[in-house]
Amino acid sequence: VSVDPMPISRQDDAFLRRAILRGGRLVARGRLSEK
Amino acid sequence: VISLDEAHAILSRNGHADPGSFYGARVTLSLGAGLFFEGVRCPQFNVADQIFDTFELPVYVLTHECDIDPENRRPFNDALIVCPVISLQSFLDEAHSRFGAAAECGQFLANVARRHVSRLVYLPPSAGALENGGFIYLNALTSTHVSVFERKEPFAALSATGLREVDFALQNHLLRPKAEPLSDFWRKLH
Repeated sequence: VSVDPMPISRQDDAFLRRAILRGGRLVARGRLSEK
Repeated sequence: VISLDEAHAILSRNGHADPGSFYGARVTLSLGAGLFFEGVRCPQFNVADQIFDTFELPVYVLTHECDIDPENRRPFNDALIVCPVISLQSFLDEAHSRFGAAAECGQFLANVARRHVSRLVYLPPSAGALENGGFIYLNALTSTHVSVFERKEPFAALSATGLREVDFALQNHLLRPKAEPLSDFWRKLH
């Protein structure tokens, strides 16, 4: 069983998401349906 | 925070992955046989808007090739699981906002290379494929449709050795025992 010695807080994970998106291209923004 | 060369040095010093044997020939392999693709259309959650956006990303395909073989005419064979690839350069470009000091970032990379961070798999660099290496983030798995791959050529393929590394990481990450005790179903029955 591996144990993460340095957990990243949820708040700080935004940088990983930005890193993922850096390598890609936005095609379409999601949109909420009208109620 | 840390330069690409420094990151490479840390990852190779602490890692088990041999760049020379991690990747293989990609020409004859089917979708799902350890392949990486660029520009794959898939959803990504937009935290600020609390809604999914559509992106085209580099991904590793996890679904087994037999489950999406077009020759297999059967129900439930048109969706597949992909894992976004984070290039090392992209990681470093964003790391400054998370890691205050270079040493902290270096420690994190060393832990990833040592397989102590089960949710990230280090992909060593490969000429003509992942030039500077990168990671796959196993908690960012997502699903997309097979039609997204029409006329797409893979940019890299795992070798048998590379596939063993990734499969081991998946097994360790997804199937490791739960830390919290679960109730015993059989004891409840009797």
